[in-house]
Amino acid sequence: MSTLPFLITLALCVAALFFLRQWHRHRRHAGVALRPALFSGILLTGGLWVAGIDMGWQRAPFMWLGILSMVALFYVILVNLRQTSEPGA
Amino acid sequence: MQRDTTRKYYALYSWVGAVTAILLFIIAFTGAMSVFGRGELQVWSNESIRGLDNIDLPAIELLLKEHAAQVDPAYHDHVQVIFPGPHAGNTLAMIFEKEVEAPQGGHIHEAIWLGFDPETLELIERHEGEINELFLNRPSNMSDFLITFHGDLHLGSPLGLILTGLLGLTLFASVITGVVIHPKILKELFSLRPWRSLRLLFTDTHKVLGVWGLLFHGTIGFTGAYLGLTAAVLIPAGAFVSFGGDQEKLIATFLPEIEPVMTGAPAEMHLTRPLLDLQAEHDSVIVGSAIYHGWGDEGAVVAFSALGGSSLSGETHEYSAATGEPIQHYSGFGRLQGVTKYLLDAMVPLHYGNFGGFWVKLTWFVLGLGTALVSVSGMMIWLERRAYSSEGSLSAAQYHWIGKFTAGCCTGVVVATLSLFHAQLLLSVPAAQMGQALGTVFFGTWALATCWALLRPNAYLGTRELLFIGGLIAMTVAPVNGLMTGDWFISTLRQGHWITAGVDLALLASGILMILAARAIPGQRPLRERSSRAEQVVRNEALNSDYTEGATP
Repeated sequence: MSTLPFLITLALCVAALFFLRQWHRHRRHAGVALRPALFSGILLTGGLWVAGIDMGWQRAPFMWLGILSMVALFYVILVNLRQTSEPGA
Repeated sequence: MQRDTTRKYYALYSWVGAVTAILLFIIAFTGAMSVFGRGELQVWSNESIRGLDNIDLPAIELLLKEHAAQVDPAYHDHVQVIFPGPHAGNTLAMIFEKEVEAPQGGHIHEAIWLGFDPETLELIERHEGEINELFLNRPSNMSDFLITFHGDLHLGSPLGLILTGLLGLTLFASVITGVVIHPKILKELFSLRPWRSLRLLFTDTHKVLGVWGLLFHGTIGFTGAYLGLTAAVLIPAGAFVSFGGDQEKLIATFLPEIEPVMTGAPAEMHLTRPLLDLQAEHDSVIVGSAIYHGWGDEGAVVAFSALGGSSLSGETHEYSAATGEPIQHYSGFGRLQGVTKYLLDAMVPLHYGNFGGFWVKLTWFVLGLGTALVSVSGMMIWLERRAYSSEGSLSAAQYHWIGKFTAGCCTGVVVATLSLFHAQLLLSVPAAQMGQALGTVFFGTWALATCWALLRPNAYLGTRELLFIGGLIAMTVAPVNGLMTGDWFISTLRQGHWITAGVDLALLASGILMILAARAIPGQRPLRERSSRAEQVVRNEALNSDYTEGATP
């Protein structure tokens, strides 16, 4: 995978996780949860599309899933570290 | 689901995990490193190919023809060229093979192996013997050592392969039972509570790493089991059932050999023309080797093995060796019918992450470290629950020993792996004995590290000290590399030897991270929970003494 598509897919996955987390918070309230779910879906599809254009559709889904898993691990760790280290957390 | 069933799954999950956690960590960690084995580490380990930008194809073609004319024509059954480079070998190799009937039936492949310096093309080694023996006994380096260790723990086939295959199955089973016993997986998708308590930190880390890497862990487990068990169990069993024990026949059924249409008319063989055509047509492919079938004949075929095409797995590109015209190209199992070919083709690239260049490898490396951490965090939870609460049938002291052993084995294998980099630079032994020397350093360091951890008062201190030592080892690789080979970090950057510079830099960064991690780990279990345990012990003693006093007449 080339560097630029990799970075774009990475950024789209980070943005998707931001909305995915919002959906996760409000998932019991369909009205509130719909918009972040939609946004994250669009961003994730965008990431897959960029990977697919660069690598071909046989290889892209595996790479896309790999990037999403990797980004999610860092995202969850960093977000929680930041939140709990804030005053009053 | 019934509560009893969940409990049974939990018992299975925790015991399978506890029994295999250390081995899984070792396999997963060395696997993560092996992702860079065929490529970056191969280049770093071989001074001769560090600066190799281009190979002189016309000169290699000339050399091939020259040596083909010199060897006995009986050795022209298969003529193979292995190009020097990150995905193939550290020397340019030419192998001339002949098929002979084996006394016990089937065929064996006798070969003449010629090794050339990749830059000067000077003949530096010549070996004769059975082809598999020659491949097994060829000079190795730390990259080969790591890949083999990950594959069979250096126990060989079938024992090592069966063991790693079974560990792959264990990982796969743990993923499935892990999902079943964690009904709140979706709820805890984003929860990580690092500062509340140690046990919660271990539990949350285990869940987050496990859930987000679920597909990766499952894939690695399944493909690992396939790769380990196929060679050791499935092929022999399949051959026994369907081919009267003839494994060669079974393999030929699934992977038919290239059969050139021989005309009997002599023709000049080509290498440069078809290879340049191939590279022009598929600009992203990296060609590792070329095999000629029917050398010297007008109908001869040359098959190039290449990585980096549009398909997930490596591809074979067939060309006419006489005219240089393309014939066909296909993936490893591409000549099979149906979905099977896609499934079988996907096994190796999905396991090693070698299907899309550096960024795929980096992603696989990070996720592979995640797999290693899942197993060790699971073990820590298992120990925490038993050493500091009422679960478990052993004494607290026995659980502490298990904890120290786990710390020594797991952190020790990291230290031992890092020591291989120094060993590769500092050992001056003949190339053929390098593998053995690396083994002595690796297993010696590992054993020392484990003993060190066992002698420390607790697992935390052992882990902390070993991480610190590992950090120092990693940080000193770049200067030692400069001293021993003259490839100082700045000079490698100036010369554009990006891989060598990248490995040095990555090790320096890893060393710094390990030292920071060592500083963050407490020298003993955090006091708050220790005191609660201490209180529990005091409480238990008080209860016992009450009972004893009450029972005494």
